[in-house]
Formats: sequence, C-alpha cells, structure tokens
Amino acid sequence: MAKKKFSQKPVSLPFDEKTPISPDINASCTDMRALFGNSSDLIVKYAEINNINIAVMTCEGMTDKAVLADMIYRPLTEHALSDCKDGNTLLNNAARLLMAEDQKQAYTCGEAAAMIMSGFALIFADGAGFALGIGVQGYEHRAVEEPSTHINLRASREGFIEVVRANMSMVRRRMKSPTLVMNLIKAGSRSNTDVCVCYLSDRADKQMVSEVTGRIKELPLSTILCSDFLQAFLEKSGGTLFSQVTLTERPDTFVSKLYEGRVGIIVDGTPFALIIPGLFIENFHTMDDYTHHPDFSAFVRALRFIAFLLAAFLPGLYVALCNFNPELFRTTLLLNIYSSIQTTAYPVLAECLIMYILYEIMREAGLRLPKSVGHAVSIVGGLVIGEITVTAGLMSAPVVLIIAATGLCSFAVPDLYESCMILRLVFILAGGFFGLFGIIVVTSAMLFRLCSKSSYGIPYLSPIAPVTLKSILRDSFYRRNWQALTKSDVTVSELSHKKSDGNDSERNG
Amino acid sequence: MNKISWGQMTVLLIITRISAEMIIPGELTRYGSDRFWSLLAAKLAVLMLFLPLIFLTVRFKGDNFLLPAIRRSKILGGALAVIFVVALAASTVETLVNLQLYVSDVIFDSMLFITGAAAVAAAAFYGALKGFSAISRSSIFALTLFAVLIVLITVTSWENMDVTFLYPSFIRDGNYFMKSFFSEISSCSEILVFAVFCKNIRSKPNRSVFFYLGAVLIILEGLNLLYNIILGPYLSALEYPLYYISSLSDIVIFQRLDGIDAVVWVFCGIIKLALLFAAAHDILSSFDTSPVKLRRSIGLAVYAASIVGISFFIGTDKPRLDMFETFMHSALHIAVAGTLIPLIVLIAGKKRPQAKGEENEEN
Repeated sequence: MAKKKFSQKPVSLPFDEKTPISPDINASCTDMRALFGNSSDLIVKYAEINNINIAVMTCEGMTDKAVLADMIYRPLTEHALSDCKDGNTLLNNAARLLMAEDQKQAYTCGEAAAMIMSGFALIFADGAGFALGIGVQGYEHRAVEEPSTHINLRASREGFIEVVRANMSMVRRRMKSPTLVMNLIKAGSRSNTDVCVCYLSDRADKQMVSEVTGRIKELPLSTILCSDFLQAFLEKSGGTLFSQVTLTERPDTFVSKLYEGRVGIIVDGTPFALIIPGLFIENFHTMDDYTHHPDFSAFVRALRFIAFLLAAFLPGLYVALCNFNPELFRTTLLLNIYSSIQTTAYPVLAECLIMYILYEIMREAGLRLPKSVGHAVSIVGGLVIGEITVTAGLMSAPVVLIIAATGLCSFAVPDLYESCMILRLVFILAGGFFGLFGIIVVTSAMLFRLCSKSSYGIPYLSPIAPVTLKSILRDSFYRRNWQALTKSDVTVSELSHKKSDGNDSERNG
Repeated sequence: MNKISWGQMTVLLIITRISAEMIIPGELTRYGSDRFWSLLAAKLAVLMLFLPLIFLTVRFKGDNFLLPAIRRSKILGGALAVIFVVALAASTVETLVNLQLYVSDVIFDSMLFITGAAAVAAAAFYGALKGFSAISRSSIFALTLFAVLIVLITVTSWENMDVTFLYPSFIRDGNYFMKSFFSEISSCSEILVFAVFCKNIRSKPNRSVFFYLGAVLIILEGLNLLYNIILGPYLSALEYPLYYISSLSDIVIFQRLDGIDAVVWVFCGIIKLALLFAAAHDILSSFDTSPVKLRRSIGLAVYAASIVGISFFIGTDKPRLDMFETFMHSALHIAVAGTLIPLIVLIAGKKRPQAKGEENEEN
C-alpha cells in the first residue's frame, strides 16, 4: 500500500452525528475525527488501491489486530481490484471479497462512529458515499470462570462474563433450538450499550416480550454500566425492597428460566443477567435443587425459608419478647436471659441495634477489603469484638448470638440479603417500641404490599398467593421428580393473575 | 377491577368471621352445649340472611348490591349506599374497638387506645389502598397461620383435654341461647363484605357463601368443642377462651402459645379491617368514577380517620361501649345492610343495558 499525504491536523468542529459520509475521504476523516473529539484511540490507516485513496478506521483495543491483518489488509493488497474505477465499486467489490460474518454499511458519521466503537474496522474510499464496516472485534476480556455468586455443587461451573456475545454463545450452547430468539438492542443514549433480550418464541408471552423490549428501547438512561441500572426501569413498581427482576450469573439458570417462558436480558459489561418476571419463591430455589434428590431438595428449600424468616424476624422478636412478653420464653431460658440482661449497660433494643450496626459495618468492611485483610477483619470482628463486648458487659451473650445467627441465616438466601437487612432493622424498631403488636402491624403492611405486586401480569407471591395448586405441587416448596416435572410442563404465564386469580377457581376450591 | 376466584372469596369470608372469634364477651362464654346449638341455628339464620344477596348475584350477574340501584336511580343508589356505609362503619368501629381492647388486654397493656387503633387502622388503610386482590391474597397467609395455631394448640393441649367435660344436652338456658344466637349473627359482617365484593368474583359467587358457611360452622363448632373439653366449667368465667387455651400450650420453643395466638388474631383483625375499608372505598368508587385515584384515596383516609376517632370515642368509655355493643348485638346493621338493602335492590334494581364480555383488568 502506498502512502499519501493526508490531513492529520486536529480538528475541533461542532458536529452533527447525522452528517452523511462525504465522498471526499479527507472530509470524511476530518468529520470522524471531529466526531471523536480527536480522541487518541481512533486509529486511521491510509492507503491507495488502484489509484483510489482509502482509509481504514478502527478503535484502539477494540479490534483483533491479527484478524484485521488477515481479513482486511492482506486481501485488499493481495487481490487485484483492477476493475474498480471509483470508490463505490471498490467498496462493493471489497464487500464481496472480504468474507466477514459481520458486515455492515454506514451512511452517516454517527452510524460509522457506533460501528467503530463496537469493534468494526471501517473502510472509507474516495468517491464512495458510504463506509464499509467489517466486524473484527477482539478486545481483552476475562476468561469464563466459575460464578462468584450462586455457587452450586453439581451444576455447571461456567459463569457469565462481561462480553455480551460470549454470554450469548453460552446461552445458545445450552439451548440449541431455533425458537431461542436473541435480540440485540442498543440502550443508553450515550453509552450505546449492547443489551440482548432473549426468549423462547414458543414459550414466552408475546406481550411480555414486546413490553420488555419497548421498555429497554425507551430507557431514559444515558449510560448503562451494569444490569442493575436497568432493573428499576423493568419493574412496574419502579423498584422496591423485594425485586421482581431476578439476577443470575449462571447461564444454566438463565436458560432454565427461559424455558419456563421468562424473558432474559444480558447486558454488555456485566456478568449478571436479568430474568423477568422474578417471583418471591424463586429466591429459595437453586440449580442444585434439580440435581439432588427431590426429598433432599425439599429439605434444603425449607431450610432456606426458615433461614429467611429467622434473618428477618429473630432480632425483632427477641427484643419484643424481652420488652413486652417475657412469659413466652421457657423459664430456664428466661432466667438466663434475665441474668445476661442484668449485667449489661444498655436496654435490649439499644443492645440489638448497636450489635446489628456493628455487624453490618464489619461485613461491609470485610467485603471491600482485599481477601487477606478481610479474613483479619472477620477474626477481629467475630472473635475479638464478640467476645470482649460480652465479657466487658457491653452486650449480653444472647444478643451477640442472635445477631450472629441472623447474619448467618441471611447468607443462606443471598438474593434476599438486602431485603432482610432492611426488614431486620424495621422489625427491631417495631418490636422494641410496640412489641409483638408492632411486628404484626408492620408484617401485615408488608404482606399487603407483597400481595399487591405483580410483574408483567404475574403476581409476585404466586403460586402461593393466589393459590395455584398445580404449580405449588409441581415445583415450589417441594420439587417433584423429573418424570413428573416432564409430564406437567408449565410456563410462568400460567401463573398470570388473569388466570390464577380467577380461572383456577376449580383448583382452589 | 380485581377479579378473584370463589375459592379466594371463601377464604376471605372465613377470615372475616373467625377474626370476630378473638373476642367472645364474658357473658357469651358458657360451659355446655348451648353454644353448639346457637352456632348451628345462627348459621342457618345467616344463610337465610344471605338469600337476597344470593338471588341478587344470580339476577344481576357481575354486579354488587349497589350498581343495579344506581342504574335505576342515583338517588336510590345514594340513599342505599349511605345506609350501607353507616352499617359498614358500625362494623368497622366494632372490629377496631374489639381488636384494640384485645391487644391492650393480652399483649400490650400499656398501649394508649388511640395509638393502637391508629396503627392498626393505618395498616388496614394501606391494605385497602393496595386493593381487594392484595387483601384476598393476604388472607391465605392468615388462614394458614390460623390452621397452624389450631393444630399446635390441639397437639400440645392433648393432655389437658377431658372428654368427660362433654355431656349430651340440649338448650338449658334459653336466654343465653338467644343472646349467643344474635351475637353470632351480629358477628357476621362478612355479609357486608360479600354484598360489596360479589361483583369481583369471576364465576359462581354463590359457591363461596355455601362453602364459607360450611367451613365456618365446622371451625367454630370445633373451637367450641376445644373450649369445652379443655377449659370445662372454667369456660364460663373467661373472655378470651382460645387465648387461655393457648397459654396452656407448650411447644418447647415457646412455653406458651398465647403470644402467637395474639399475633394470629391481630393479623386476622387487620385483614378484616382492611377489607371493610376496601368495601367503603369501593362504594365511594361507584360514585366517583374519575380516573384520578387521589381524591378517592383522600376520601378513604378521611373515612379511616373518622373510624379511629369514633372508635376512640366509644372504646374509651365503658357505658358508651356497653351501649354500642348492645346495639351491635341486636344484629340490626346486618339485617338492614346485608339483607334488607339487597332485597330492595333485587326488586328495584335495573339490569345492565347489554351483556358485554367483560375484560378483567389487572391490578
């Protein structure tokens, strides 16, 4: 390729993204530079083929240089394009010559810029009113590893990574069905993040799919850095304590939810995919439940449910009973608690609040620190502070035990950790000021809230409230064996309250 | 409009009725079989009281007691609605007062009446705002809790049961029988709930009445049996029999079950209150059909605040409370709002101009 002098001057022009690509290559390059604000990562390579000036534009770090050389530079230089008399013909012939999977044409500078930033190499030619984009994406990314959350014993070890296309391939590998539809949408007016909406066309509710897609297209966000940014906009209630959107890092969980007729969303730049709609009961389910024996799975699910109840209610109940209804404790336990309380400086409510806040601070500190230091924090927090506060008479042993136990319980249901954390605080205060009465009033209000929630027509508490016996008996608290599961194949849209609140009257009755 | 199944309505009606069971006035707790017969007779009477409503749901499919009356004449509808709301308010006040008295008697004796009533009313108001569907779904949890409580009490009180406390007899005290009979009917505010929400049942609304009556009869007779065989002759001296039975129950984790018993009743009570508030809200919505919900919500808030105020006025003064209870035990409000008004609507109501395939809206 012969080099020719081209304008390399930095430009700073006010720029409109809709400006059409100029047939003059110099003008096009100037326009593109202006659009990128003379950014250093815009690479422009000039060449001349058959007396026609061309420029290849890429974005530093977004392309695979070996692929770029093999797929673009080598074919363009090695193959004679002698019959090309102008830029248009050159690019059209190049389009046929370069057998790239991902090939597009850009007619405006905005389109060209979006393609460059997505890892395309854009070929501009003198006299052509468009640019030819060849997909040569190749950026650095994390290897596929075991997910850091939702760890399972027998299920797959693969977890999503930050690259949307790699995640899409992981999904496709698990569902080799033409009914699996994956729609890539650009979201975020400024970040132009790739968001992939996945669903099984023969199982997902069409209305739900179009509503989800519509919401993503109309997102008022300018930048999307992780999937949680979308979460609040996908929930009809605008985001509450209990999320109606499930997050997963596991492709196998993702695919299993798609099979149930849900809509999945993979967001570029995050290993956490979203699943819609999310139901309350699913927080107690894991992939391992489907690999273990059903009886064992039922036992573990029950444990998780008990852990959730303890995590949310135990400290509040303890404060309520100590303050207002100590007669409910067994006599020996009451005496022990009473003797503990007698030796501490604070009332039970204050004790519980201080210990709870201390625990959360320790957890937060341990979470953000490097692992080695995190262990030290755990030792200092768990052993030293726990032991010393009791022996120094600052806290009573039962309170330390209860806060530690609830902390442990809340990790048994990781998806509900945040909800548990808030609820625990609310119940401690309610129990401290109003006893059991306060707890039940707050619980009632919470239950009304939960019962009123529905996501895309599916009640959040289904299949328990409203009762859908078929689903309860199939896979809620107890998972039936695989033979039975295969026979009674259901999709999530069957829990829609249009059906479950009404048409299941026969089942409910 | 939130549609539910008749099964869910049955659960709602059961919860509404059994929440009234938390307080059996001292004069109505009586050892013996009199209550057994009064319950039986009362349920038959309640069925009779339900008849106009049952016919109404057959004649005016998809309507409640009010809509056909409004269609005939707004003045008629308005007049009936006012009478109905007064009866509904009386029931709501009775529930709130009883609930608050129960709470201050058994789990929180130092609580101010107004604080407790306001807290409960606030939770119920919130439930009413969340909608009829939310309340009906919550009732499933309440019924489950109630069932668990009864099973726990039965299992743990096994040793305290004495079947020799049972003896076959018929009505020994006619005066008590009548009192208990009318008390049972007056506790039947679920007829008011059904009158308002029968339009929200997707199909076969009458099934919920028959199933609820049968289930409630079994539950109440079962509870009565439990009171008699555990408490025996002491039953006549107690006001909250189930509370005392649960205080004798030891489930190892807790030495007594009375706290759990109180929790269940308060929960049931809140659901009933929410339902009564939602009924008032629904009646208000029949006249204010504007899409702006705020005005109706403010109306409901004013209504709830008035109920708390009236409850405070009645509940904090013994003579006033006695007078109110005497009136309520006459079951006049049930007869008027639950039977007479539906009867009038049945005769004077107007059917919908044309039957349209109703589409059920979402929450």
